[in-house]
Amino acid sequence: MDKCKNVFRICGNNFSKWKNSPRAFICLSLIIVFMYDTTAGTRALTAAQNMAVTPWLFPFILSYPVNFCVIYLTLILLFCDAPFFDEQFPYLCMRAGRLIWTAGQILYIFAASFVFTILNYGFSLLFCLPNLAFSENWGRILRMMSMPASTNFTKLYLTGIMFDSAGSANVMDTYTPIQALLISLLFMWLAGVFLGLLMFVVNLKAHQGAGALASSFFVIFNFFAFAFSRGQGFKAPIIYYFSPISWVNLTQLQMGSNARPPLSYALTMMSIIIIVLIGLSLKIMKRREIEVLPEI
Amino acid sequence: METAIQVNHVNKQFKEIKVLKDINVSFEKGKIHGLIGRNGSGKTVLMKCICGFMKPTSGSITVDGKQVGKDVDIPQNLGAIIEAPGFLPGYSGFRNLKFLADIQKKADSAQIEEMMERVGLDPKSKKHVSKYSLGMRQRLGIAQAIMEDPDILILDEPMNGLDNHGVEDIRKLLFDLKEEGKTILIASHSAEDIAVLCDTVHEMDAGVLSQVQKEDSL
Repeated sequence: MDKCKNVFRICGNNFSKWKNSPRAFICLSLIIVFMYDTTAGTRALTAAQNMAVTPWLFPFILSYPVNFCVIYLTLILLFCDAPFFDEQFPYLCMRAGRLIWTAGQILYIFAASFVFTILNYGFSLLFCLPNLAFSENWGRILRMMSMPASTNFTKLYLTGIMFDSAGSANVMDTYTPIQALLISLLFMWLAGVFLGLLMFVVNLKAHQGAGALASSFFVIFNFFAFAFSRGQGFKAPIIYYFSPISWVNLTQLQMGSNARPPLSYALTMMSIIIIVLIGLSLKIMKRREIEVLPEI
Repeated sequence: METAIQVNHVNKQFKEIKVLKDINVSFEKGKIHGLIGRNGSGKTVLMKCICGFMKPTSGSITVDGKQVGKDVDIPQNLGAIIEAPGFLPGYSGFRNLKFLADIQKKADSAQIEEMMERVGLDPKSKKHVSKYSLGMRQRLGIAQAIMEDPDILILDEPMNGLDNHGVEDIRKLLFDLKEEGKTILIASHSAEDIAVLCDTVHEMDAGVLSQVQKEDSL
């Protein structure tokens, strides 16, 4: 029981550092500015149509790969110091032991990624106020925004957000609003955990900073996967099987009979990857020397 | 003569560089032992090996009868201050120590307050550690090392950043701790500190440890 409490203590200790961390403030500022800008078109459209938007916008914010780059590079900025070998580390490790300390850091990655996900979702709702109304359905605004570009007069208003029109319409046909939202939030959280743990492991095995490069690779890979799979001569949606970050975007998962990875594959693979990374973190930390590393 | 720390044929190598070369030494219980040597001579690395922070390339270290890295990962019953002590800058000294103490639950609030007073800090002060001077941080680091009443103390440059008054305070504290039966290993650049405080003195030179007379350390 005490060991369990210590895992939570060490996790909480990392959150305490946010108070004095310029990096945490930069991340928060980026989320706020990005979400404000991303929802600008929706706000303009709701004002022009004099209609409210439903709280199911979030899955579609994630349907455009540039948005991914901004969101996940922000998360990489937050986690790039993993495994957080700061000056406090030896004194915590002496008391808690390596295993408990490592478990605390892993829990922190899970918890911080969750907070990050909720903040992104929360601000996407906040900036749609006051034209936000709950409904069990998608609502007219989101339906309008998912119309094909050629017929979509609403694009005039969409200064901030770009929907993947065809994909978005498919998502609306395949999932209920609450399903789409929950799956998006779940994958956004897990993708953050994946990137955080990847940085943890790579920074432990290689040098501090290599983890951020490895994680950035997956974020950028998602961008190019999107570009390649849409290209004229190179249509290979199978590439999404190898791009865990893409699984956050529901439009990149299988709907109907297309060649993209099904939801079950994405969920299973993401879970396996995360379990393997946790195992590697614990194994490497068991032998790792306790030393303070400079902040990136 | 009971031994608190036994170092047996310890070598430590970082890639091609040998930092510790066949170190053989034992530190008796209840005494203050000094380690002197230039920067980069290997003092801190030896201390880190004793604390279990680093694993020797070969050889073994026994602390309180238990082999480090085999019987225990990090020796218990050991307090340390190695390099710069790290604390949460946005919290008071007391809150920082309380957080650390809560992990093992070996020290309650009264003990933490007492130890802070012993090193010359006000436990009631709400001042954040970020506002502490270097000397105050060092005092807090020493309080962190002693608050759980460990039998063995590993102190790397404990007088860093302290003014003359602070040095006197800490010297007195270390003598008191010795009287209480603690075993203390101190690394210091200050030959005077070593000569005044220590019962035995060892000099580290390019990874080789040799015992020297106290007078010679001056």
